[in-house]
Amino acid sequence: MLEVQNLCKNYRTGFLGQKQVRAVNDVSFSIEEGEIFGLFGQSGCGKTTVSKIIMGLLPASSGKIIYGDKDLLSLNKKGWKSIRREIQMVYQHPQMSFNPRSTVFEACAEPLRIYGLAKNRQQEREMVEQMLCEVGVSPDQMKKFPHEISGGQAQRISFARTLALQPRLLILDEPTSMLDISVQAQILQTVRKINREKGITMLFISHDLDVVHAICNHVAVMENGQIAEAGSVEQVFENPKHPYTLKLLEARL
Amino acid sequence: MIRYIKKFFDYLNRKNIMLICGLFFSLLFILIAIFAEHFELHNPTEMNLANALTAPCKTYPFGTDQLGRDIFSRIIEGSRISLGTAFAVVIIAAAIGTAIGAVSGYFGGAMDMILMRIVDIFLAFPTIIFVLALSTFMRGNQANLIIALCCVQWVRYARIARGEAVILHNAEFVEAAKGLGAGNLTILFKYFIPNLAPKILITMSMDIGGIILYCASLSFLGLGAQPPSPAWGTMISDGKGYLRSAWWMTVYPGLAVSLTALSFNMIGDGLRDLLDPRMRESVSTE
Repeated sequence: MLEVQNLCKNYRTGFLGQKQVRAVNDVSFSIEEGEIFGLFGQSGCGKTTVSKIIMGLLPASSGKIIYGDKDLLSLNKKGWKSIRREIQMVYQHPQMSFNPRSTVFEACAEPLRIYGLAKNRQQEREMVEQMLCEVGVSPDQMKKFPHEISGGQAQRISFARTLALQPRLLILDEPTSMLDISVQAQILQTVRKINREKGITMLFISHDLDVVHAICNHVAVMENGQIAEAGSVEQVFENPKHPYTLKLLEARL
Repeated sequence: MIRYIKKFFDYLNRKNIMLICGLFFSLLFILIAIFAEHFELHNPTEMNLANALTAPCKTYPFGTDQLGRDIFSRIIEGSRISLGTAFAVVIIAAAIGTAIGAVSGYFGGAMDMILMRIVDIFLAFPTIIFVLALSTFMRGNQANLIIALCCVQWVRYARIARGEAVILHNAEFVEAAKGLGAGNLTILFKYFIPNLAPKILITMSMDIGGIILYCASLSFLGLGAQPPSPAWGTMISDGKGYLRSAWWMTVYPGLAVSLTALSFNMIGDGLRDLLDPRMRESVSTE
């Protein structure tokens, strides 16, 4: 469904920019329809950069991202508009991905308004209520502001907001890293439920081995902007080939 | 003794007395300006040479000037000019400045570079000299004075809005909005403007006092509203020749200028403390 081929992202740093940092270096992987694909690696290894490039929020230096019959990297603005709805993302910091000046209701209604999905106010309200219901948030949270809700709630609302657009691919950028263990488990259940019931393909980015192990079908391990090892979860975790993966597995408690 | 005075002021600060006092007096001045006709005892432009330079008395509470015009009525009429100019300048300058600053910070790149260098050029001139140059260049009347002051004041708002916009630009929620597919206009109006508003409002309320002072100094120098309309600065300038014999001609308009400027500044300080406690000097809570 999504195929990333030889993706590179370089930054120039230093005086006059003569130093080159390869944030993402020749990364290739492919995600199959309906699966949860794990992108696993330490902080700062380039996971989030990859996700932002797929979202079209960051330009890549070279490579290809094949989605359907299109190359996402060579799409222009108009082309992006047609597939914007299909690729959506849930961000790492729960409350920070919401406008601090608008309520939960407005945040959820935003995507509906952008794409003109609701015919009138009444329908908009019903749709938002239904969206929140689906992810297990009670409608009385709608009047609250982002700083008044808990991290777990915020993350659920974040899911609701993207699901309103009925995406085909959902990128989850460490959705549970800022939550405590019990809430983490609930969110992961929600993720699984969404994946199973709606058949939405997911790219799950995480630095947490257990989470990746629990939820993903396939996994790619990233190290310093490169893919160290990729394969099915059983394959990678039970029979690791790359020394980096071995080291990480040994570091596990 | 000093300790007690300090404690008293700390108390005032904690209870936001500044803001309340400021609001009370400013509202009073604004109401006076709006309903000026009802407060004027005499026609502010009517000359009566027989009563020239009368000291404050029952008929003329603040005395009369060299042409026998009632100072009290002229001050009240002058508050219209002063407050009108100040509000017009602040609102126009804030609107222009915020728009330019937000756009500059949002789009970044070459546009940001060019706009901010223009702002730097404006900031390099001392305000009063720049306004003087502009308003002598144009014909001296009220509207031109407002335009001249706006030309100078928008820069502050542009700077502040741009600084905030750069921070917002990198905020995760703006990125999330882009990811959802929100267009530039939606992001600017729904995300940037509401988040910029508190800082801009604080700056606006702090600016009003300053502009009242600018307005007075410029009309003192003969720019802005022309005689016979009673601008406070013009009245002070008229009175300066009679300072020894008729002190009331300068003292009362001067008081009017300083009191209005003070009360609007108090609102500004109070609002700043209320909306953005980080900017407040540390207040002990003992």
